[in-house]
Amino acid sequence: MTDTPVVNVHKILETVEGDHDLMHEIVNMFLEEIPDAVKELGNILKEKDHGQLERRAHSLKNSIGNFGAKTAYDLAYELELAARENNFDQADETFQKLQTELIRVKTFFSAPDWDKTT
Amino acid sequence: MRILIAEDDDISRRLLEASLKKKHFEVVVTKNGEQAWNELKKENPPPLAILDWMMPGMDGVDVCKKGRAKKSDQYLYVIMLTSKGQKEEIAAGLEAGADDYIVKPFNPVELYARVGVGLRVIQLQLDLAESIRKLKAFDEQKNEFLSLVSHEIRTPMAVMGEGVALCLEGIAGELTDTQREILTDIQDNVQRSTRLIGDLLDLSKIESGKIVLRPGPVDLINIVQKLETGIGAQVAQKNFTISIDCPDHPIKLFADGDKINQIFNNLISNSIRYTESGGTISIKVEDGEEFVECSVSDTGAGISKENQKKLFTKFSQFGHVTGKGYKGTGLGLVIVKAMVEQHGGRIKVESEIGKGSTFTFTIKKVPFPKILIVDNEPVVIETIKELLAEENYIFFETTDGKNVIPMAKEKVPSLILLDAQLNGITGYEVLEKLRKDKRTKDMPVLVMSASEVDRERIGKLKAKTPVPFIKKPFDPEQLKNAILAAWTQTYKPG
Repeated sequence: MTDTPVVNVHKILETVEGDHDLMHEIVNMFLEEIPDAVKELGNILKEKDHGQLERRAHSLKNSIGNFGAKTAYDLAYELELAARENNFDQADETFQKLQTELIRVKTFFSAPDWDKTT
Repeated sequence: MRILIAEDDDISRRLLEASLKKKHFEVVVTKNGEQAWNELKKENPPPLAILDWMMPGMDGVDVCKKGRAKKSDQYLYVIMLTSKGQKEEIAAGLEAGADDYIVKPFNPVELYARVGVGLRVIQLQLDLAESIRKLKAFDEQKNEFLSLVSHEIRTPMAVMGEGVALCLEGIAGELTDTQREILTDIQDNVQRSTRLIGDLLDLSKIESGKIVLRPGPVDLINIVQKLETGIGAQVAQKNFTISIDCPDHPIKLFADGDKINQIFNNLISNSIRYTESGGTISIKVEDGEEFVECSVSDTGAGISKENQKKLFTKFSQFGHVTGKGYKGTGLGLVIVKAMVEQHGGRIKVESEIGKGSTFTFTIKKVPFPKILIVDNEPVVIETIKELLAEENYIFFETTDGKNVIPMAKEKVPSLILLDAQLNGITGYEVLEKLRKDKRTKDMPVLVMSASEVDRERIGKLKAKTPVPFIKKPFDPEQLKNAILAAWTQTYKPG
């Protein structure tokens, strides 16, 4: 799992067609979204509302998808599936992993020269 | 070109907007279904919409359906946005009306390609709409031309016909046998051309919706029985047997008798043309609850399945005639079909090669008109009812002008026969009140009076359509004609 790059900058550049300003704009949007998403997911998990959990995980997954963050994407999808199956044990476990991975994503984007990485 | 985006996810929305703007599209950005629909329901909305399928509240499917239900000349091209792994959603979306889909996270190259497809479809649709518009304009011009030319030819044709007829009568001197033969030939051809022009005129009237039914009370059995005398000469010539099978009680219809007669005549003359000497032509009438069913059958050449499909289509036969010595325009059945449909009926054909053909049509039985008679003299009311006794109308009556409005609202008559001089309230005051209420303002009114002064007053009344007037005392024909004229415009069973 750790062999997979946290974020695929190449993929982001493809999506923004090489527009660095746009890339930084959406990365900042994403960094702002992460804490809100984590907080909301935590609350929903406590309420055990699987429908809402599925929708929230789904939308976070879509956001992550834009950044080529493969591991985070897969975990968000796993969370979405666990919610769909109403499996809260699985959902709790996946959420823990997803949180850890999102921290790695944040750390990645906090590095001063992250956009130079390939 | 304007493109509408509806996407609740901030990042996806920003990316879509940025990508499309790079290609110089004008982008209308919305965050949810409600906003998207607000944009689409405006006048001249964007023709292409990229809709996130999963949105809280009004979702992509809802927006797509609402956008399509809206009456518009322009097609709304919808690209659905969906997520990876949502195969069922894609299938359901396409089924619900989306034209295409894009999977998130999307790739800009793919986005442009799919938008490109959409633009091509939109352009094709615009071209098609433009072509249809032009064709309709041409068609209208063609009808006008047809009608004009036919009218212009009809007059010289009548003059020729009369001239030839006079010659044949011997007005211009004794004829040799050869002269007679030549003139008879000319007469036949003048008659044929006159029929053809008549058909073309009828067709152009039908196409431009100018054929107006003149309905009245008719007895279908009476029409059918008269048919036999009309076709007697042709039948004798070819030694035909005519069989008529209809109920022995009158079938009273409120319909256009002339048109029904024309329908029968057209069908019968077709049968005669295509049937060899010694054949049988059967006319049948069956009375039903809602419709009367009529048919004309022959033992003639029959029509192939292929040709049956083309029978009621314009010009399908024009120019390529097969039957022996038969030359027609092929318009007769087109005209017949239009007249049947104007009477709320349908026409069909059953036929077998070598055995014969049966044309069956229906006429809708519309309720007979209700007439409200208003006169302060009960004797006058009785006289009117007697004059119209044979017409099968339904009557209501009152001698009190104040009763007219409530009765008109309750009985909803097809016509109000209103005396101008009533007690207490004048006919004019009643007329004014009728015109003021939206439930009664369109009801046809026929004003009657013994005074010429009233005719002048009625003529000066301001109204959308002139109010018809009839002077007392009237004879039955005058009254019947005035009544028929009063509702010709409002009768539409088809």
